[in-house]
Amino acid sequence: MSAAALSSAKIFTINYGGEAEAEITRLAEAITATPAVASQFPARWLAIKLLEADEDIQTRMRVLQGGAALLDGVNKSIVRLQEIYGDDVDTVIADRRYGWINGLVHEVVQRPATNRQTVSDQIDKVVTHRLLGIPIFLLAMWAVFKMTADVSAPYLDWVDGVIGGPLTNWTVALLGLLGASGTWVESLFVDGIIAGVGGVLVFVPVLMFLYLALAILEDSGYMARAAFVMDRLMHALGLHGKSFLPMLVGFGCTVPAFYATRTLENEKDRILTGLLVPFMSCGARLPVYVLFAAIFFPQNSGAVVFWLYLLGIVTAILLGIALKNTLFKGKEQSTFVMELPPYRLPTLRSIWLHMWERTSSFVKKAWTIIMATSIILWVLMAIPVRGEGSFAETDMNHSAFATVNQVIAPVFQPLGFGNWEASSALLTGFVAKEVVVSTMSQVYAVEEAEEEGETPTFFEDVGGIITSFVAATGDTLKSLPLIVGVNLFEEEAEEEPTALMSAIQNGFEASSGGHGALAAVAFMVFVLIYTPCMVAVAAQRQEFGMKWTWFSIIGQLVLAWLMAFVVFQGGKLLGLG
Amino acid sequence: MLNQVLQEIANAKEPLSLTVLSNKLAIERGALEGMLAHWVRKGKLRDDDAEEASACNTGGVGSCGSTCTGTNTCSFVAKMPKTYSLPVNTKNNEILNS
Repeated sequence: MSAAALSSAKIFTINYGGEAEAEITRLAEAITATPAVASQFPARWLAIKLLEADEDIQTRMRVLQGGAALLDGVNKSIVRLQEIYGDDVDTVIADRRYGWINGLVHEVVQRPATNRQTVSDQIDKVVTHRLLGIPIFLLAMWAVFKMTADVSAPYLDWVDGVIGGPLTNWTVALLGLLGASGTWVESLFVDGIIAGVGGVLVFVPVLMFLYLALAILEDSGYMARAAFVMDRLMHALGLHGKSFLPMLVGFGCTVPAFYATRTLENEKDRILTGLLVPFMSCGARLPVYVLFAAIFFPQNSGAVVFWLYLLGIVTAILLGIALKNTLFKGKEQSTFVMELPPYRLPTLRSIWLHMWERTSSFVKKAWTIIMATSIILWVLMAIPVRGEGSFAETDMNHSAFATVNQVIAPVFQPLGFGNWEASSALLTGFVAKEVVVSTMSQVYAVEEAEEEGETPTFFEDVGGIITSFVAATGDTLKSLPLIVGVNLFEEEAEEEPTALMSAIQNGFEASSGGHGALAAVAFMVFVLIYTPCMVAVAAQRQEFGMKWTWFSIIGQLVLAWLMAFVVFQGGKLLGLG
Repeated sequence: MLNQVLQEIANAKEPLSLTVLSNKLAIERGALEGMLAHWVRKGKLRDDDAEEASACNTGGVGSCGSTCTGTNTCSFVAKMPKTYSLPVNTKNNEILNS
């Protein structure tokens, strides 16, 4: 249909009000009197578009004959209408349009009383309830960490078995073929790379289950509600309501969490949130918690991990309130509107993709930063500084690495873990938090007792890997009810701890004067609170500047030491651990 | 109606969800989203999603190890819900008069 035909046809119109309609009519007449323009657009439609200051239409008008004169007339109309309404003309027009639409919907759309609210709305009544919202969030977190700690255990043991068994055997055999058997090269590969990188890769199943649980919560739509509920709490405590969104990102990784603070327009709010984000325990710290919880609290490892994450959140909130009332005093927070997506059943494909994307970053880091660190550590542990050993054949306590760490170890004595092994793990944890675990695997290196019998062949090893994977899968499915406290496993004799676990336990018992469990808790609290990894610090410097970065580094170190001190010394006073 | 939406956000004592705002003002949710988009275009509201678009996409020194080329591909950031907020320094009486 041509523009002229459209103009003359009976077309339904919205009434934009007396003054606006008068200007629209005046402009439509002017348009009709300009043939070059009238032949291109319907007159009334164009008049409204011009009053809305549509840039695309204005550009097209300028090249038409008579278009410039029309635009002059439009500008005068806009000025007149702005004086009358006291508001932008496009806002007035949009307001009238929406008002008409809303009125029409109310007149013609009939919804039965029961259907006025969607299923999502009805669920939200409970999930975002003022009193129930936070307990529900805590319950969801509990389920996440129970799943992470308990359900991942069979696969964790499988990976540990593969790395410590067939992978190590094949490496030793291959090096033997190359004539490197019994040399420092073999030590580098076995005690350095496999111990270091392998010690971290063992926790891939743990991370996968954590990200699986988070992916389910996100894809179902619940995570947005969690952010909304926590934002409301933050707002009530005087902190910026949007602070929790970057913190939520921090549960995965601190680096994007720093960048996510850009959603906060106010610089003070942004810096304050940036200072609090590191207390959200990132995924890289999880292997530390899982390892120590398995050693010292094997029956309650999920609970231990949950309480650590909760401690991080509570610390962030309390510190935020303190800073908000001191260094970051400011005006009352403005509020915001959050779009809560509808609840939906997560798809397997989506869950898998999100789980794998996040886990793969962990694996990629293992083959880069962690491998490089493991090699450097091995070299430092191989260099003799004291004693009679030679390169790669020295007592570890006489190595360069031990000597350096023996200088700083006394700082941690009041916290219950004043041995050089623990302090070295914390030092290397600055490279990446996973390195805490890989360093422990290297510094507490003990040889597992050799099993008697023939060495399995390559194909026997491959068969063993496959059958043990199938068994681990079965055990994982049996572990799922553990989330709700139902144990489907038969009563078995308590599993013997590995040599590494025993070495760590003995080390902490010795350094704490027999309060190993308490020292372990203090150690985990220190790992939770102290400085994030160097990549995160670099991102922090980029976003907030050197001054605030140093403030954060020193503040977190001091706070970590104090909190660990309170845990250990306070626990001893109370007769715990 | 448009100004009602803005006023309601400015007067709110705590974060609002779109559903609550829609029910409070008796406005269809689809229409409400269009109204919010209008105020974002006018600069009276801030679309925090648009601000996030620059997050992490800096080519800077930080990398969490994932293959991140921007918010739309960051596996950690992508799931943040959409929010709208008043620009900084917006006072109540400025909302309708500026």
